[in-house]
Amino acid sequence: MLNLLQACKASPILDSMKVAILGAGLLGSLIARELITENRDVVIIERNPNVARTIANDLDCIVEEGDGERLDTLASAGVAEADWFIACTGSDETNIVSCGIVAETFKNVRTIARTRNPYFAAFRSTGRRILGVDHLLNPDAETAEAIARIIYRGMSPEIIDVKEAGIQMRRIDCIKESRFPGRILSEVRASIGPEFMVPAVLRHGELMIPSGDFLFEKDDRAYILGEPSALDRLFGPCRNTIRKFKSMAIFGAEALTGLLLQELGIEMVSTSSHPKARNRQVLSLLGNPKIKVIDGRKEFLKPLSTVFPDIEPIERQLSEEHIIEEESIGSADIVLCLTSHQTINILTAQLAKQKGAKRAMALVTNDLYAPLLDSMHIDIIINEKTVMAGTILDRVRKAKIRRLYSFPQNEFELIEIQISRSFEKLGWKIRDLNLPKGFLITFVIHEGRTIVPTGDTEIHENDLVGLILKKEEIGRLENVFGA
Amino acid sequence: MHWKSIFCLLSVILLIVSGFIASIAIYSYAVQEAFTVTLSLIAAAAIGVLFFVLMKLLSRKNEKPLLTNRDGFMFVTLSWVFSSLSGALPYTISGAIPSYIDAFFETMSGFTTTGASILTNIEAVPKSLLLWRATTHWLGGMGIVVLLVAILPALGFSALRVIEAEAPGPSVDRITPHISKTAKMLWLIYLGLTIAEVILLMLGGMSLYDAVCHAFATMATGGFSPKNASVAHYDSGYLHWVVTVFMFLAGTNFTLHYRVLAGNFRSFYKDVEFKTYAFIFLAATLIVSANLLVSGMYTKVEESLRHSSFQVASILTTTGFATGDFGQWPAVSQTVLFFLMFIGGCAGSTGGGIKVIRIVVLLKMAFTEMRYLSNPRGVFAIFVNEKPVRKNVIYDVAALVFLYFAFFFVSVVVISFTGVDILTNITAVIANLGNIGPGLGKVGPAFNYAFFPWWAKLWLAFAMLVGRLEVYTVLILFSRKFWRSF
Repeated sequence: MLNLLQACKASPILDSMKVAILGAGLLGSLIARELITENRDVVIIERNPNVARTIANDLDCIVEEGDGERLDTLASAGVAEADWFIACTGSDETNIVSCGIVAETFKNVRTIARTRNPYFAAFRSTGRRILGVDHLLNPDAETAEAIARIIYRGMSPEIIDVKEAGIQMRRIDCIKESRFPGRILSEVRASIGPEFMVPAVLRHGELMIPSGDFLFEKDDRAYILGEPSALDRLFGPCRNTIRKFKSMAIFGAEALTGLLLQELGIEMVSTSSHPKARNRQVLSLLGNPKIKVIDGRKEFLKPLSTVFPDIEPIERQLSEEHIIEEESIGSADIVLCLTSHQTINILTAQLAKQKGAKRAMALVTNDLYAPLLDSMHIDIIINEKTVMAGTILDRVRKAKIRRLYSFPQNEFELIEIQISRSFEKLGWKIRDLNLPKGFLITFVIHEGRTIVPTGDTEIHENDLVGLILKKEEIGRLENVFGA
Repeated sequence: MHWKSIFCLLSVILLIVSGFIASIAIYSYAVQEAFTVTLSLIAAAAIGVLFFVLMKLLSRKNEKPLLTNRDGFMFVTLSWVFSSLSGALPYTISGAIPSYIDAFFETMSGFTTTGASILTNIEAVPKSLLLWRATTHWLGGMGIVVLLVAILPALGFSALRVIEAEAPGPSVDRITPHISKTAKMLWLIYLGLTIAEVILLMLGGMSLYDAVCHAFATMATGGFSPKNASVAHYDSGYLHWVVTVFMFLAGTNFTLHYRVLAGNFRSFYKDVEFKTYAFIFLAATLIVSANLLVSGMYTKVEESLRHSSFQVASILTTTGFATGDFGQWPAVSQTVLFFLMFIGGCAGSTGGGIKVIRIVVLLKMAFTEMRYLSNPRGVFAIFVNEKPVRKNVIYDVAALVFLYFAFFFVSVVVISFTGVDILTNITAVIANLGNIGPGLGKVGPAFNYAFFPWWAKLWLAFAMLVGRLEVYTVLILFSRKFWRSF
């Protein structure tokens, strides 16, 4: 009863943002679910009546059955009153055309289109409206960026991918860190040093936000947060990072692989369709690894081989016996399994690990196998849909809010806000802000320096403030920190 | 089955019901009724709270309640049973209705907005208990579970399943993106219309107490009146017309009310269900009033029009008020009223019955089948409100209507064991299954259900619940598949 009543009190009275989503596929429904948790008004437009009915049963939103390229459907779904129109059907053309129609007809609606075509990726983040699309987002490009970030950070399963470069989050098992179990948080900080935060602790699958008198247990997994150098000093360098790679095997030669190679700065034959500048530096930073790309389909390998002369494309079916031995996957430093089949990715990564690969990463499309993954040895699982949903949500949210990390299977997320000039409490101390209960400031980045906040820390313009909070509080947060 | 979640939510329902009983107790204290009446109300509320605590202990956990489809059906059915069980307590404890089964029948009749009573002399019952009787109507009209969702948005996504199991009609129209906001809007409209009716009735000379009781019973399409003679107690044409209008409004889809309040006046005119509903109402009124005039029951045109429209609205919307004993009316009028019992109000209204929209869909289906017969290679679609209807919806409607009648016939067989005549039997069953209240023959508006044996009362109470929750929600609990864990 108590939690029901609390939730009742927290029910929002704010002017809720209205978002129209075209396409109730995996991505569309994921974004819808996240927005509904944040108490936004969501309308989904879906062409397939069966999908529409299922989604209407599942989600607390209006579902309009119809074709997103038709003006009457868009009008009757109430897109005119929406703040955002997000087109994420499986077809690039439908997405762009419907965004175009919306932009032409309803002037105040901002649009986001998902496109898979890698050549459209060039129009990403130009900041201009192109064909009526305000943000053209490519899931492959977003995922490639996220994977590249993980590789730069040394492919450590302990380091958690947060978007902010100046800050690092690690996950440590308390059983391995003798300074944690049996002590309370303030003691731990007193003995280790003040320059890190513990924003969250995972205990028996449940996420807890620790306060000063939080007592650590042996089975806990603690998230620690701080500047990378400070964490290295206090906890020693992350034991599992790999700084230099000699060999990298990539399974799957689809668009994502090409974008990833680009992101990693692999030398390219210069053509006008690949506008991104070459960046040899990054590659040498990684130790100039030898890269094999394995795929069973020549038509996917051919374009790669013409663009990236230095890689070694291999035409082999993943189902072939002995492929792991013959391509000596076991001796690779990194194995990336990036095909479009998550089952193959997971199994291949696990197999590569078992054969001796140092690090393996698997791309998944949903959480179906999540319960299995804990007991497997794959170092890093990356969920394409979660990455994409995070990117879209960053665009949609009012204030300058970025999602840094969404704790898996929990309602919490770590976000970062850029304090704008219009924030009325500039220069105030944190303790005087009177933040609502449930908001925990985990870090403040002031002029490029990470500060572990106390009650006396002041908040200034352009500061980046990190908070950990429940997803449903995001709407309230926007109100506190202003749009 | 997630029993813990179910009990967690059930306990809140019990708390809501106890809260209303407690506020009736305050009224009883304020008007200085016999102390035993007040005390019995307090005792009933206390027992409700006790069960709330008990269930709360049974379901101790910190997570959000999680309901699957099956849990939703279970929860909704149980919430109605438990509300009636606890709502029956004040009658028995105070001694107004000594038998607990009778009290249960009366309360179930209240919550399901049936209006079938076992009370012979209503006016002898303490006023506070009669107010509670009307309040059960009012709570059940829009739905207790809908109220729960409206005031506790924390239910989250499972709210939708629960509402679909409770709300009348084939599908729930969402007027706002969040189901809890939709529930809130519906309750606000309901509250607003109730207040409007109270004011209009008081302008016609009713006391506040009578106006509230009648407004509760009208807006919920219930039919409990605090007077022995029902609305016929008032010999005022104005009052009859006011009640007629509000019965008609209560039998309309509340989504339409919302649209009209939002400024979209054409939605009444464009809605095919509303048009059919209005047509049935007008046609039946004309036939009955002509019949009454010709047969000499009433001599003045206004009088015959007033009584016939009142009675037609009362039966069509499944309210069950009476301005006269239609058991004495001529055969044509009785037959028309008898058929109206099978139709009921609109989907999304507080009325019971099969609902006009289902009749519309079945009619269209029948016509389409005939078109297929005359043109076997044609391809036809069925349209409702200018939108094509999916086959699934049509199957769903056809199956529901079949189950409705199947249950009706089974009930007629069951009730026949009491030995009543066939007219009384059939109309008693449909009056309870359709949530109407009075039937014809020995259960006509001038009589009541007191003479039935206890098992017949329980069966009729069961029929009310089946009718209110529209068959599937209750009957699914009796299928073997429902209880299988895999």
